[in-house]
Amino acid sequence: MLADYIDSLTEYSDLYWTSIKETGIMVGYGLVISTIIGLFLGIVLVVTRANHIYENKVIYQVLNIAINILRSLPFIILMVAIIPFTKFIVGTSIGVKGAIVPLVVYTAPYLARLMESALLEVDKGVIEAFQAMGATRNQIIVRVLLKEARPALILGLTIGTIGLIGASAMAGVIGAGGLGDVAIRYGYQRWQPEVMITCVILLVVAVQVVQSLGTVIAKRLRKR
Amino acid sequence: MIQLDHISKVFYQDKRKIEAVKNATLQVKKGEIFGIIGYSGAGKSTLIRCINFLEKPTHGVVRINGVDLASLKEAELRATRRRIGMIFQSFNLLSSNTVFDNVATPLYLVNAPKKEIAKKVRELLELVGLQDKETFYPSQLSGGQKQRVAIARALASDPEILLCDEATSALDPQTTDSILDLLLEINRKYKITIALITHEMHVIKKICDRVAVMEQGEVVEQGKVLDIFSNPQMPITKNFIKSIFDVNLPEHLWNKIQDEDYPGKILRISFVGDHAGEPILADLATKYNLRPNILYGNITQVKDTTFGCLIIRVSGEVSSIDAGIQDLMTQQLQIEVIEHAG
Repeated sequence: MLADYIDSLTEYSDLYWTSIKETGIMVGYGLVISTIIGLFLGIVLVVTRANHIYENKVIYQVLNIAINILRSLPFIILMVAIIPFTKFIVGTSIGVKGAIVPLVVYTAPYLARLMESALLEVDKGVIEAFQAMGATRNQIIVRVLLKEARPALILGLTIGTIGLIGASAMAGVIGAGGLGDVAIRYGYQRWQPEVMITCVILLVVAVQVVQSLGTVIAKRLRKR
Repeated sequence: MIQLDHISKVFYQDKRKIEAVKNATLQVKKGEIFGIIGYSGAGKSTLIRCINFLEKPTHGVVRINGVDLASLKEAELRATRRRIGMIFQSFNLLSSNTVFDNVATPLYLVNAPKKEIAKKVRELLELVGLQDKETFYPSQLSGGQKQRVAIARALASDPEILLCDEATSALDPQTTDSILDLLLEINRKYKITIALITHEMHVIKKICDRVAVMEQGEVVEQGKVLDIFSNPQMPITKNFIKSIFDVNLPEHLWNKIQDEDYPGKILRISFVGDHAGEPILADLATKYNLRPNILYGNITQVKDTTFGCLIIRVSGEVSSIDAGIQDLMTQQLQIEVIEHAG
């Protein structure tokens, strides 16, 4: 039985490698773009709050509601719903390219919330001390908010990445490939349980690696 | 140096109006240590934040060296704030930075040259006695050490004024005293004007030159610490003083005296400064043939001056007692005849 499984591994090794690569590309690009957008939105959500350094009720409320709306859609629905937008941005709504846009639209608001809660943990007293020292508002964002929140930001990013890996598995629906796609097509539709098992193992390993990495980095950064 | 003119601050919390500070006026002179004392919720924290505009007053004018802070543009206000250091009850250090980087923060903010930063930081760490803790993180330090780092940080931009927001309230009595000694040293060595708020009379007594007493948002009494000590007017001020310096005869002592039956009067003698050295009791005995007996007493140091209060019973002939009292009064001692306990 183990021999059969190893046979299947070698038989489908090309397929696995391609799908790992596809997942890697989707998650990689998706993560970089989502992090940039999510971190920016997270900062905006924090500093435009009442009594904060860029207090602005309108921006805060608009952003708050917009993020809630995006966050209420399951990925599979979001992906289909925004096809026109995806086409507008990258010219196609299928393949890896077509998957990255919905992955970002799905992940960025999620990361924004995670970044927001990480940044809210920063001690208000330290911000006040920097104001008293004559720091500019941007110096406060860089030197206090982002610096002090680093461990929490990394942990948030870890959770976001794992969510992104999960979502990328559904991108197979629009022909983007990846491990999820292989699991569905070979494991489910053709009933080849050994392929399914391999995909599951690979996804589990990926998540374990990401989580451990995040935990270790956050621990190193935490000086408390 | 610091001038607060009719300052009021109103907050709205859930549509409820809260007047944290009501019409407070005070001046802090160059080079002095000025204390503001009050119970929690008295508005002192809000008032001290008005000095560097962390809170903008609803009414009233804040002047630093004659300049109205409300008239400054954002960049000018930041420049003014760099001339005003501030330390806090909760230290407010960056937990992710070393002691060195924390102290250097005000210099990083203005992109000072590296060499200059290193020199300044080392000098300040020596001043606060933490030269061997440069590479430590705040979590590795005790409360007193953290406050020392915060003080060094506040001094890094060579401020003229240092604001202390309950700087010793989170510290134990011994550490409190060492921090107060450090503040006094800084005040004398660098001629930095210090404004502090506290709820402990001990802090006022130990280092302040002048004091303002706050109650429910208002400054109810202010003046030289020694004057306030020897002659408090408001009940709240008396309470604060009583907390560290009791000038009343304890009730059990009073009751004991009532049981005994021989003539005499009970006096409270308060004395300030040089008088503490004069043999007033011996004089009463030799000049008037009275027998002074110390029942109760308290002598303390108010910054650099001795302040004391003795409760004595003088017994002897009635006419001699009166003459003796008259004599004491000419010596500018504060004399009070006590007729009841408490």
